[in-house]
Amino acid sequence: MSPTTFLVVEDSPTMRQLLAVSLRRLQGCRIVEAVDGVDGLKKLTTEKVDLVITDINMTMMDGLKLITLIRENPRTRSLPVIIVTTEGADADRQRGMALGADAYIAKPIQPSDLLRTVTALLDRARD
Amino acid sequence: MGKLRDVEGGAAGRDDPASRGAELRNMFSRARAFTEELLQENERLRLRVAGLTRELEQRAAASPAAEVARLTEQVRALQVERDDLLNRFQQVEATNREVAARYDEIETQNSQIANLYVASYQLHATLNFTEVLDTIREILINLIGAEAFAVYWVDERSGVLRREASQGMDAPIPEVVRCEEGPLRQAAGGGESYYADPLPDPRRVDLSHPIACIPLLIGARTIGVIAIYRLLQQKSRFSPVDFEIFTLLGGHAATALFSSRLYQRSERKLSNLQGFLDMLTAPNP
Repeated sequence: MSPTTFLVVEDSPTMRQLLAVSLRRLQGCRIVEAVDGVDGLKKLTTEKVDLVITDINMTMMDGLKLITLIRENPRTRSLPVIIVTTEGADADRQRGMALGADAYIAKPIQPSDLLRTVTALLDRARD
Repeated sequence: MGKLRDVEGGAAGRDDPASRGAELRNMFSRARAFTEELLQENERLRLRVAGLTRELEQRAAASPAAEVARLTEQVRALQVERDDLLNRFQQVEATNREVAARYDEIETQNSQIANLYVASYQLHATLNFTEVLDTIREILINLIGAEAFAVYWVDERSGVLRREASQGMDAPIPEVVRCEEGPLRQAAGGGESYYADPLPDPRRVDLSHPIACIPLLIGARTIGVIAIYRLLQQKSRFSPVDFEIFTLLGGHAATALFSSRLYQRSERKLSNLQGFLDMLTAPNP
């Protein structure tokens, strides 16, 4: 069975590492890191990804634009996407979900919450 | 209890939270099945007791006293058995609650360890002063959930605070901040941490009254102060892991800032010295 591959799109090295450390607790997973939306899109063309975790505020291309492009591409349309961001307002959450995110987690994250969400989305994607 | 030991043994052998969750769910469903079994048994015993009582009553008039005594004894034995089963059921429930609480505790500890590991790793990943400041900024935003904050350097000669970094402030912080009293003074002068409790109006930012002050200490010497003025709107108070991160920042951010500043100074001096030596040893035209 091939490992589950996560694409982590985040401009903060600290947050990228925290997400990677948290996700590695799931056995048999592989983590691909990207520093912004443009890098994330590039990685999506070269890697077989099972789930995307993205920040919103990034310099080159923000997370909302990335989600829009993921949903427009037939190859990545059904990919589960989680937003992890400092933007905690209800309006931001609704905007992210309306664009096609499957889950929205406001920072600071609890690794256990993230893992619960990831597991639920992967289960749903497999069904 | 045999069922429970199986569950505990299985859980100890795995560290995947998804598996642990599945095991916990499995354990709860087995506990539920066991409870249902107990309730059915209880119901059966009740019926049996009722039946025997009825039988006893029917025979009471006609039967000899010995038969009545036998049946009475049987009823008593069944009641004891029922009480024992109920007692065991309560013990299993208590153990289930204990295991669930322990699981939550371990999850919290895992989160703390992950946060502290990442913070400490990132603080010491560079010898560039600006990059260390960026790391502190990232830790404050992403791991603490701070929205408005500043990092000050203590000028040992004058005692004033020099702003090294700030973010999210309503008005720009002056480069030099003099504070004669308050939490900033206590942190800078006495190396004392400060945390407002309860947190004041989250929208108000008062430069001299941060909601948290963390002195950056190298031994007993305070080289700087991290002041947090406001948290992100989704965060209403500090959590236990925040205080662990503050303690880590107090020591590790201090050494990371100090050593990166020293390193950059020594690099500059080395470069100047090398230039001077090159000039001295250069062949005359």
